[in-house]
Amino acid sequence: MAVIGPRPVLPARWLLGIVVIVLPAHARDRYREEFRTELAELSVAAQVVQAFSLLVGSGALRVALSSREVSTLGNSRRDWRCRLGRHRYVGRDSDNPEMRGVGYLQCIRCGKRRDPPSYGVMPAVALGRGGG
Amino acid sequence: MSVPPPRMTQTTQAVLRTLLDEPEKQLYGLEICSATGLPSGTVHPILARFEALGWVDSAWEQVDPREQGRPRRRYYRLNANGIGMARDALARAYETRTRIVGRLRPAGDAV
Repeated sequence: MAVIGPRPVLPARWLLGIVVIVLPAHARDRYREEFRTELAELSVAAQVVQAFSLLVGSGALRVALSSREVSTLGNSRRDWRCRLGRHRYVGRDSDNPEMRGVGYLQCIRCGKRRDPPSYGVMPAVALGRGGG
Repeated sequence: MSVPPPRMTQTTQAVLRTLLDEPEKQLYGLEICSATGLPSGTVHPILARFEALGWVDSAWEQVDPREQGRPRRRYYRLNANGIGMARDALARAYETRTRIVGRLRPAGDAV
């Protein structure tokens, strides 16, 4: 995207680049633009101070943004085992009445769904690694 | 799951009071920073938590950056739900502070 108007000085841009990397991917574009706008309205010295302040607060901002993400996805998303792909799948029946008998696997910790194996009988409880 | 209510620290209260001063007015990050005297690195996480709670709405400024000669700003404002929740939260924080100060004050100081 083309940058319109004054740009922050180089050290402030470097710091801002680090701040944005710390943030969750879905929020990076928004905050990059927002912070760039704010920095561009300050004097050169204030830009560096402000960018450093943003860097110090980037961890807290990441936590705040992640809490929003978790609130929409469910508490169990935090479980470290699921983050490492170690889901705990159990067999579930499909909600669709036309698909009765054709179930799926769902992780009881994070809610991730997976298709059942295409062979054999689906286990009541299936332990296994998630596919990412 | 709902987002837990924010801890009502002094900085959180300062941001809330600034937003409540003129609830209908939209403020952008630097304005909130200058009104509260807090750095951006403190203000933005607080604003993000308020957004997560659904107290604050934010939106990009509706201007043409080429005409303005500067990039667009992101504006924040308490929504109707947020105004009520913020007032309640500030009132509770004030009660808590008053109660603690009351306990700490020596009995002879009571008027």
